[in-house]
Amino acid sequence: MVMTSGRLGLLLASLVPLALAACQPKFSDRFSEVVGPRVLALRSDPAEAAPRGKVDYRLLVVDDSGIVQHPSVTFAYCTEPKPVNQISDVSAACFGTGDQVMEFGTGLAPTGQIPAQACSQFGPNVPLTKPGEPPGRPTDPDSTGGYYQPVILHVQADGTPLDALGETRIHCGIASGTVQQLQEYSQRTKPNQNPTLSAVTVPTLGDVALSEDDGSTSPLSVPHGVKQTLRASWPSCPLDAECGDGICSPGEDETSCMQDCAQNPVGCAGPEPYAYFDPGTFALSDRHESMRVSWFATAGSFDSDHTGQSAANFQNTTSDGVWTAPSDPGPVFLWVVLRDDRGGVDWKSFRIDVQ
Amino acid sequence: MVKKLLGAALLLASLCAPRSVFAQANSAETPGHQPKLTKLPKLVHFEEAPYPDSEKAAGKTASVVLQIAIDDKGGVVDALVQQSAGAAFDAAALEAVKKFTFEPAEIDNKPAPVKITYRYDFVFTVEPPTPVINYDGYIKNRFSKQPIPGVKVSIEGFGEAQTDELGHFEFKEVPLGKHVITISGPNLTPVTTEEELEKGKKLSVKYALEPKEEAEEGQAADLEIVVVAPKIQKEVVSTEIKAEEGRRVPGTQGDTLKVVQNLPGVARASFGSGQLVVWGAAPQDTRVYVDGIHIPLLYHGGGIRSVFAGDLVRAINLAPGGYGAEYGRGLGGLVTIDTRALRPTGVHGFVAADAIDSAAMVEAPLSSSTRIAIAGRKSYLDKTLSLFTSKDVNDFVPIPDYYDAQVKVSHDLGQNESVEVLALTSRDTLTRTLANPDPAQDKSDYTLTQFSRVGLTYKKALSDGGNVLLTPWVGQDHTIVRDSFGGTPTVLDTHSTNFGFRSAYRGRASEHVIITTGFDVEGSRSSLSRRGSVTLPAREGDIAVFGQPPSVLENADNWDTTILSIAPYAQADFALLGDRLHIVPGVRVEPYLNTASRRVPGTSADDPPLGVTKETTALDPRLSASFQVIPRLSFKAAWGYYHQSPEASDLSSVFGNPLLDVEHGFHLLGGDTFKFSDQISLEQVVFYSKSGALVPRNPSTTPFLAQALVQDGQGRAYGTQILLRHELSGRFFGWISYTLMRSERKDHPGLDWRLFDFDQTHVATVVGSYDLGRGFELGARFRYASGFPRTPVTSTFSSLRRDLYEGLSYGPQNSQRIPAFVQVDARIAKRFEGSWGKAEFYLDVQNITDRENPEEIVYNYNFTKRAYITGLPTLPVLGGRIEW
Repeated sequence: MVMTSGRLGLLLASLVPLALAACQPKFSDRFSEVVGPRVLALRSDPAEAAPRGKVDYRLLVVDDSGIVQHPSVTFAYCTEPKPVNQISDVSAACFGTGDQVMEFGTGLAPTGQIPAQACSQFGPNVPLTKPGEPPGRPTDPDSTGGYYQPVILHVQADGTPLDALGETRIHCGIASGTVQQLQEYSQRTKPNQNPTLSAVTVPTLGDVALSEDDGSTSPLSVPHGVKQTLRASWPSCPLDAECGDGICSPGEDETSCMQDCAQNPVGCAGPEPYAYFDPGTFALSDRHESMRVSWFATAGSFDSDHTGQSAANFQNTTSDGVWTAPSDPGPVFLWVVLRDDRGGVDWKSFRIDVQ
Repeated sequence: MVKKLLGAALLLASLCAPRSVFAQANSAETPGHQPKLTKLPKLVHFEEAPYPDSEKAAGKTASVVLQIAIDDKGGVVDALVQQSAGAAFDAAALEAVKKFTFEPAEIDNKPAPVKITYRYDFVFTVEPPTPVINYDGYIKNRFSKQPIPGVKVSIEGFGEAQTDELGHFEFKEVPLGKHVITISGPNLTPVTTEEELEKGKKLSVKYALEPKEEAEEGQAADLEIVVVAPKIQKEVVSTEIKAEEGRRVPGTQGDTLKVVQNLPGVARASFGSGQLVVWGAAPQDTRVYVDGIHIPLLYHGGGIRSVFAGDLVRAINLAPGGYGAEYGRGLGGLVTIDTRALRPTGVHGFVAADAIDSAAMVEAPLSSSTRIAIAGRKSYLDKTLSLFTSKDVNDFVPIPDYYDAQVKVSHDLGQNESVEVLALTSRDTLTRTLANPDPAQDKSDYTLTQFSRVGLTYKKALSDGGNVLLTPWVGQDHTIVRDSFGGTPTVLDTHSTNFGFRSAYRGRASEHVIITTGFDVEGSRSSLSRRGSVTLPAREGDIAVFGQPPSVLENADNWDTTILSIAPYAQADFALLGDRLHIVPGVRVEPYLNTASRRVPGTSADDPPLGVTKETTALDPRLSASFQVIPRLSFKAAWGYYHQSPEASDLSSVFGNPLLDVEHGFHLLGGDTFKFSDQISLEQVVFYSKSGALVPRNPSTTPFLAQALVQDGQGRAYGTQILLRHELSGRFFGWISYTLMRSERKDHPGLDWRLFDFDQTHVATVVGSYDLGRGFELGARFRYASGFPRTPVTSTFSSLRRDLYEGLSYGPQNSQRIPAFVQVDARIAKRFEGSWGKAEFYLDVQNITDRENPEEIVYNYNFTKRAYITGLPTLPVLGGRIEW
């Protein structure tokens, strides 16, 4: 017997409130809180170097009292590629001892020389294999098309051992593509330039700039327990290359713009444009860097540990972090680290006095 | 022939001469008038006198002459013996004549009393004896225990009978000796058996049959008539659940196929995954078939719902291992879903809805021989959940949007010949965007899982009891995984065209041998595109930490594959020792042909692909045996060799290895089943499986090109499981299942064995459902499962470029466990029935004790603290269903 539509229109469902609570635990400690010795950043100058190129390093080590001025630091290059079955960014063997680790300096600012085989160990060049063996599998690039030389840091600060991985972008070619594409790639992309953290201001206090913790100016005073917006800013990059702007942009070279590109060419210290070789389509495209700001403080709390601007929003040259001053008065040390997504970094250290 | 004696009375009435007529004159008559008999009395009721038992031995004829006085109303007022034939005859005659009635005589046209002389004759005759029923029985449905009317029972060379409404049949005077009995009828595949009739004994039997719509494919020929012993199952170890049971298990929200998750040998799926992990095998190693058509998955995303309408399902069968030669291509278990026969009369259907989705089905005959059913389901939980939950839930548990639909058409070509067309489709999509002020934490997910199939099944039951089955099918699969984490993509896009053809012949080679042979062909042609890190998606065996941002390395590949295998197979069932011992050897010869379009990664857009073809012929011997010691106790064992093709997604020259070969393994199991009664049984099984040529990641720091994956892995699993089961009958059904097992992997030679990522040492499930009467039903489910193993992080390093902490060193792989999962679910339902149909409303409450079950380990930012993500709290789901 077929039911009439009237009878079919009966109770079918009752949406019982599911009343689901959040299932993920929240930890009380935050990435942005500096409560003990931490390694916050490593800067390579230049930000991108070719094999055998010299690189000046600078390390930022802090604790809850400010910058650690004299930590014990050992720098080493790792020469062992990461196996594909390891999820981390570097082979675990790099933190061990052996031939795969090449020490090259100590202290906070040593100078190193990129190993000669960097582009075959960590780059697109086909790794060396024994005669008769099939060719090796090159390292995959990152999402910007770049390759990195691992820099292993063993730090001792305040009696606490800290292991850290720094990475210097290495100037290699592209893994595949035609010769013409390689040439075009070289013209359309420049070695990475470290970004410049221009300033950190406080819009909620009339855009006053935070005082760098270098003793040159008095620290800013803020009331306790109050939220403050901190604004990190960096330079913009020209949309089109312009000879004479002091920036050796993609598309410019010694021939087309000696002014900007002849000696010690400098790239843009903001979200640089670069050429990206797509490994799927084997085509070159233009992109811009994304910029990421890491916020650290010895007291108080940040709403977000990291902020920034994606590549799609490269024309925005600021990023805000919201910091709530601690309820206890006293000095607070802050560090703002600016990174581009091609391995470049800059930072500033500040001190705020909480009233 | 037994002679029966039948007493017969021959009436011979005569009137005496008028002189002897007794007449009573009327005082009013005229004096001197002679009264005149104007009408004779007429016998209206004759009473038959039984032949006296005391005289039967003599067997003679006797006559008793009596004088009978009849009144004016025709009643007998007196009777006297005038001529005796003996005391016994006299007494019998007197007793009888006193019960005579007459039309009264008339004198002068008026009723008047008279006396008559009557001779009562007794004649002895021997009548043929009444035939004796010496063979009868009842025929009922093996599962529902209901009688089956209209079943024809034929005795070869003698005759036939048909069962009545009670399922009863009977034969009279069947000659002694052995007879071949054939049972046939509508919806029954003819089956034969043999009975023996012995002198002086009546043979009463009970036959329990499985009507055609309930019979498994290809099994009719060996459908042993269940007289006392249960039917021997096709797979040595398998659990079959009827659709009616499956729908009523708590926690399944009325979804029949979700019951598989509660069967022994099945590990509890990780939260929100819906994966089937059977006897320690990887999820992709267990194959799922619907009426012989391979489908890629059984559940929609998250395991929320199955992809096939439960109302079209007759039974679900899970063989966790050791299955026969008819199936292959998988190192794990086998799930076979049999659709039911469509009802020949009436328009039927249902609509159902709950908080998760709505479903409906319509089923109707198109003609006397053609029937159709259309079913579908659509979800809306992704839209309704946000009304009631915190956003955290959707962050952790992706809630898919899904639908599925099925169409089945069946057509009878003859009494024992039919063709069915089954079409089905399923689609899951998940879209999730989690914006973050940190561009490195911006996340977006898009997942599409879609497949469709069309298959045709031709069945023919042969007159010799054999049957033929042909099932060609074709389908399309499309899966997309498109994630972005901080701008780093993970993309896997797969388009596949799949096809298959299954043929089977099952018949008696001799009195004690049943053979099954056929072809099993399956192939797929896929186009794949992948982008992202070589370590994503994660593989079993990766040491990964939940919530860890993925690698930012990126590569890409586009490739095509063809995976094809053609497997002729054969197996023979030898019935020995009076059909108590069955030995079933089988073999499957399966050439695999796999191609990948790129042997090495391309280097430019114009780079012509140089492909690779790999051919391997696999030989899969199988052997099973079952022995029925006594009707209630049987033992069984099975051994088999199995092979499995590599996944198309692993044949990438960039992310995998185009030269991968088939994986292999063997299963060994043994056990026993004891039937306490027709409904209650206890099954115990021990099992061991070993596999090789598994595919882990390459551990080398300098892997060769196109060898991100290697084929060095091994696996093993061993354990035991028990199942105490009360099948659906009357008011109650339920089961207790417990599995104790260990599943391990060795990724490369020289490494130690480690726990399999999905290893669960203990899995216990207790399910029960009781009909309280008046339409109320109450059910409960208890589950206990060991937590999944995880690898502890023992030290970390700070990754300064990515500004996060990563694991540096780890404890032994999978050396820790998430705490055990314990949960109680309950279900209460109320059914209404009427002439219009049935309605059912249910409340399915998961986690009724509100236990916070740990589901995953999470760490703080620098791995110095850890905690657990817990599963859902008490989750009530109210639903309703109306069917007609």
